[in-house]
Amino acid sequence: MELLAEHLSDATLITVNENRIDAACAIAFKDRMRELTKEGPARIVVDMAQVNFVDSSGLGAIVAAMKALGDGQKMELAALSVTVDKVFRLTRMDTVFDIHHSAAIALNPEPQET
Amino acid sequence: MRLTIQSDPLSVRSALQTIMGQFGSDELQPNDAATLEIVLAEVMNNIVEHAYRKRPDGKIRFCANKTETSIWCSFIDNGLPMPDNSTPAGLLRQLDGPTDELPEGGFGWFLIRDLAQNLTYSRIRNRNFLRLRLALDCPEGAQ
Repeated sequence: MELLAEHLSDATLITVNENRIDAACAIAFKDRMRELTKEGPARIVVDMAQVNFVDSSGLGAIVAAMKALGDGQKMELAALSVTVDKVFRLTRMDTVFDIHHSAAIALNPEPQET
Repeated sequence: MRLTIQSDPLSVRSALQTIMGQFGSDELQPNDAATLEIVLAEVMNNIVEHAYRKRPDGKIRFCANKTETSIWCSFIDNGLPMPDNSTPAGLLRQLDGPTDELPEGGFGWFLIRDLAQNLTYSRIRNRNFLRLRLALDCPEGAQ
């Protein structure tokens, strides 16, 4: 399970370098996420751009990773594929996580119009 | 399409990749492909986890037939029967409680029931038979 963490000034960007978070790797994902989120900024953005499939075990692992965060830490998701987005919408998990169109947008929001 | 799959998560993963590759993106709309992959994954993972209780030496026999409007899928395994000889209700748990209480599982049968139609299950001579239909997004006017 290849997850890469980049500590930015006000957020940790975790890039999932895998095509799937499924029953075969859900535990590895959960464990690796726990290691990567042990320290660093409160805000964690998970870039899912390479992930084209998440099954219910993978979804459970993402929820578990979020529940394992320390007080004040927050996990957000970016770049969900059609299939991954569908799993989140059907299970209503899209109401639990902040979901961004891309990691770039999550980290550099458009300046407010004045 | 017919496929026999070994009862372990990596074999299920590679079977899904084979099946999705065979149906091909030119044959299915992205939304239909998503439905197909989600339902197949949940059914097969349930067989691995519950019918075979993670015993990796079981077999899942999968068969799919595509018509213009549907994909009919059937699954046969030699594992344990469904509890009470029927498919689980698959109710979605509430998500409005505290974060600590968010569910980490129990989504599988909810997704199957939400996405599949004509679900039938029978237990015949130590084998589980599950059959279901996935309705395809038809082009306008097509029946």
